[in-house]
Amino acid sequence: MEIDESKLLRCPVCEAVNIDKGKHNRCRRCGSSIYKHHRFRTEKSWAYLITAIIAYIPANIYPMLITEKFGHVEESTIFGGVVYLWEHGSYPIALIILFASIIIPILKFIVLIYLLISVKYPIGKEKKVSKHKLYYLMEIIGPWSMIDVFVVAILAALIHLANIQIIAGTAATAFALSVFFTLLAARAFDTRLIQAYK
Amino acid sequence: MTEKILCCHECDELLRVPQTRKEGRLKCPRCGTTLLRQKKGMVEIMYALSIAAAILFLLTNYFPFLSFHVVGNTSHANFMTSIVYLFGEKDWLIGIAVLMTTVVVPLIRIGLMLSLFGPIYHGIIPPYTVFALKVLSHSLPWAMLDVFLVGVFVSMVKLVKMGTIIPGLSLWAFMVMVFVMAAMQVVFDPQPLWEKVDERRRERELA
Ligand SMILES: [Zn+2]
Ligand SMILES: [Zn+2]
Repeated sequence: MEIDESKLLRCPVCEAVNIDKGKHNRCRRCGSSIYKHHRFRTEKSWAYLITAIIAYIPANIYPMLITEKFGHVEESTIFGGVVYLWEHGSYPIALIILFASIIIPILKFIVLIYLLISVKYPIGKEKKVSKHKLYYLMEIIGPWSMIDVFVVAILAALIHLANIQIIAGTAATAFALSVFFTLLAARAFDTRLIQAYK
Repeated sequence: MTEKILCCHECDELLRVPQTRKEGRLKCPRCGTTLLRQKKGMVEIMYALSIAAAILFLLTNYFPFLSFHVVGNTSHANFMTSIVYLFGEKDWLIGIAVLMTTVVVPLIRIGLMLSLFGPIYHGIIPPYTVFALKVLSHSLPWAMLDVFLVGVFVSMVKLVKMGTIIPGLSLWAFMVMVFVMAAMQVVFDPQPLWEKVDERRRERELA
């Protein structure tokens, strides 16, 4: 039996190969809807990404951590926290926070913008495979940007004593939102678009 | 000989493999991504690991996580009370983020793994297999236990200078759970289960 290979669609959820039946394709195995290449849209991914970038701005301006020690209040931003840790000799921790809170989020924005533009305009056409790799790499490292939010949550939940208190700042909320929307943007991006642009 | 068509999920290369293929790794000839793992004993290992993860999950949520001592003051934190505290301080968004990524999503994943691999180990393909596999596929990026563990280490280093921190029993349980769940992610291969769903449907169509 000969099968027309251009009429095959891969289910993004269960990987089953389906035969294109025209308008509405539902996976024969798991029932997820499968859209065809020309039906893909990038608007949703763009919307999430822009929200994430906007949320990333207050995340860097406002304090992440507010420490009250014997009536003395100290506030530190994400970058300020990294500098503080570095100056106090906690180099590994400073590097972890630098990667998790600054380098990974910005890299994710850049990679997503690049991927979203490259499926509309002919940039890096011959790099189809490496673009897939880039996407998967981004998906793997993405959640690690949550480290600092978790640190703030742990400190705030643990340190609320009479003399010493740690309070989560506005930036922690903004940062968590930014990570959330970046994850949504990555999910909304359909990797089959990379294939579609020939 | 009947063939089935596979499609690489990274580069969309189409390849044909014989239907009877049972074991061994299959890599995409174009990009090198592993398409089929089909390791023997996957079901048994997954069943054992999901039971272990469920027990560790209970331990993690029952015992104190971290205790902190400073000049005559002590505070204890356990998983759930910490999250309740965050809600009380109106940090409800952070509270939700921590609750979802470290409690709710991991619990759903462990529960689904147990309810899938338990029956399959005993030779029954549960009717909710498709649903369970779909939820497992969609929920993966939202379980962040490993990230949280690094967060715990960073917090401990930060606190060392302020006072004494005593790791609780639940922290050890949590660390083991993170490794068990990482092992589950390495071993877990949904493809054989999808094939079982296919087989069952074929049998029904013939009957
Ligand atoms: Zn499917
Ligand atoms: Zn491939």
